[in-house]
Order: sequence, then structure tokens, then C-alpha cells
Amino acid sequence: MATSIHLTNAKGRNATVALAGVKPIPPPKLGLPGATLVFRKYIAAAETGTHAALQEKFGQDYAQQLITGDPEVDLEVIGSTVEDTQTVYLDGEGKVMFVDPKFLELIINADGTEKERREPLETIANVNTELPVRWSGRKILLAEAVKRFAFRRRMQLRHTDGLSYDYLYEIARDLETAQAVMLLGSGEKGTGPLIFQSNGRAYRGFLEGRTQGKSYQLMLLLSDMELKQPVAPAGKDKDGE
Amino acid sequence: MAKTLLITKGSEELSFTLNRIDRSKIYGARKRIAVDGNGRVCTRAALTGDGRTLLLSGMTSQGYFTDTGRPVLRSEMVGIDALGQIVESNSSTLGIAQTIAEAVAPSELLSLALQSVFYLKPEQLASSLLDRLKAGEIFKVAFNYSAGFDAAFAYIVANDDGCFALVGKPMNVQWVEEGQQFVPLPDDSEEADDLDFDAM
Repeated sequence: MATSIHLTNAKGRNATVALAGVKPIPPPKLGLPGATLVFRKYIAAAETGTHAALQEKFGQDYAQQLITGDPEVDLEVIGSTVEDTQTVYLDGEGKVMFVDPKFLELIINADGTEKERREPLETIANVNTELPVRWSGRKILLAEAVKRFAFRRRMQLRHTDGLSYDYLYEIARDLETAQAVMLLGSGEKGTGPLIFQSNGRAYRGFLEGRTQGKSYQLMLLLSDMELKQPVAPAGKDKDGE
Repeated sequence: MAKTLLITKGSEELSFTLNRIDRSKIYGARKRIAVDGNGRVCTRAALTGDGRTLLLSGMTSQGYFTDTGRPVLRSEMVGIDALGQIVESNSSTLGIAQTIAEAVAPSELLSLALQSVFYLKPEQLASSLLDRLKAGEIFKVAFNYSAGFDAAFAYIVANDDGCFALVGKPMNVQWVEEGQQFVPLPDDSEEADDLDFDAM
């Protein structure tokens, strides 16, 4: 995940500043008063104790065998803590593959139907590259932005020296005065989405600023979705009937 | 019948049916699948560190244990806040009238750690509360989809596409001063309507 962003301001001047994650206030944790609990993942069934294996061995109705013989219980395996594991792929017959599988990308329509299958498109991170993320000049009033976009993520821009403090403070103050957010974009034209890691999710990025005396908050609001009526699943109308 | 989001102000009530939405329900989705040499879909599994056990879907479970190894049932556990105090569980707010506060400033919504978005369908076609939403007001109500220790808020907004509830919790954003040097942790000209969310 990128920890810096290279961007331009209203004057077209570019700078690289820090990007910090912002966390919500943590919720209460589940526990027992005065006790330390550990969360553990463990083996609950051996390969010979799965529904498919038992069905193959005893037939469709194997309830009585479970009662009388406990064939699903393998004391050597069950209860073992699962710690470090390696991901493996099973082929169409359920056998472990010793070569990498081929990956395909499914494109699914909003109604849930499959649109196409294609070779996966690789995307690269673009927020801290030689080409800066561009200040588009398109301000959207706060009152309009909150009704139009779902902001899934927020990151905070932080200065790394005195010069970048002035740079970010000025942006925050200008946006606060305008009561607007500013669209940022990637690419030569500054119209592309922001991608923070290779093959990561693409977002539209908006800057929002606030000041308090000589302090500032300059947030990068990230949205991958407009507030729109959802498409009905295939075979149903808009009301899901 | 599904429970509704019910809001009230004075003697006026307005209820909505809820439909949780995400990007895939508006633009569709991309999904990567693995296929074997014959084009058949592969399934993922895990191999334990010692290489002895292949873990297929449904073969593992998880839970909380005491330091002596005793499993702790979910029903035994309570909510504990950051100060170590026991907190009460919040019941679901669905179907229970939630009083809206005065209209909320847009900047407050921008400080929300968004958890989920719902498309809301009003059950009453004529309502002064609905008129206020359509005029641009933002309503805030307590919102818990199901009972739990976490407490969230729903911000209700309306646009040309309908009404939406943006559900989440406040962010903990710090003010940045000039003297604060930030050291990042290792991991830590088109028109407005041309914004292309579909192709992302």
C-alpha cells in the first residue's frame, strides 16, 4: 500500500507528501472480564471425515455409522491448531496441482449474469510515480458530493517538512473556503482513477480540507461507487419481484 | 416481512425498506478464477506447515480459548471497551422508530468510516420528511442492523436516483501542526457527469 502520494496543486506545482491511514474509533472487543483470550483456528474434520468422503464410504445415509463408530473422528488430526499454511490449488478432479493454474477474469454484469471471460488485466499502482496525480480543477460542493458518492476509504495527507506543510495547509484552506472537494486524477490528462497497489482496487480520489488556526486536516476521500439505484438481479424487476 | 428503517420527527414518521448495495450491484464485478490444463475450474485449499494435512473447505473451525486451552462459548463472552469496562449489547434498530436530530452538515458525513450502503425505498409516497430529504437535508439516526456491541449511525441522503443510508462510525482524524513530522509506517477538463465509475 502506498505511503506517499505525488500530486500537483492548483498552480501545477508538484510535491511528494505522506499518506496515512485513518481508523475509526475501535469497537468494544469480545472477551471475559479479567481473562486473556486467544483466537485460534483449528482442524475440525479430517479429509476422511468430510461429507463427501463419508458419503462415498457409507452411502447416502450414514447417520447410524456416525453414532456407532465415530468414523468422522480422527484423533491424530482433529483439534490441531492451524498456523502457517500454504495455498494449493485442486484441479477439476479435486487432486492437488503441482503446477500453477491459469487465471481467468470473469466479468459479471450488475444483474449477476456473466458478460465475458478474458485474460486478467494487470494494473499498477499510480499514486507515487514520476507522473504526479493531477489537480483536476473540478470542485464539487460538499453538499453535492455526499449525495453523489459513497466514500469507501479515507487517507490523510501529512507534510514531511516545512515546505510541504505550507503546500498542504494552503490546499486545505482553499478547499475549506470553497466548501468543496477537489477531484484528483491519474495519467497525462489527470482523468484516470487512483490505484494504490498493483492489481489493487481503483478509486476516484477527492481532496477535502479543514483548518483550525495553524493546524490542518487534508483528507483524500476515495470512492468506487456512486449512489445509484441498484440493477435488479437477472429475472427480477427493480423491486426484486 | 423484512424489517424497515423507521425514522421519526415530532408526529411524523417515515419508513423505508432496505436493500444493501455495493459496487457490483451497480456496475457489475470482476472476479479471478483459476482453471486447470483442461479448462476446469480449480478450487483453493490449504496445506499445513508440516505438509501432512490438506485442508479443504469446511475442515477447519475457529474460536476463542482461555490460556489454559478451554474453548469459550460465544454466549459466555461480553463486550469490553478500551478501558476494560463491560459494555451492554445494543439491540437492532430496525423496525424501531429512531428520532432524527436536526439536519446534519455535509462535512460530518465526510468524517464517517463507511461500513455499508443501503438503497432505501420509502413506504410512504407523501411525507414532509421525504420532502426535506429531497430538498437536500441529511438526517442522522442510530443504526444497528443486528444486535451487537458496536454502535453505528446511518446518514440518510436523497438524490435523483432515490434515498440512501450511509452507515458507519466516526473517524478519529488528527489535526496536523507544522512542527509534527510524519514518518510513515512500513505498511501503513471533463464535465462532472463524465466521471467514469463503470470502467474502473
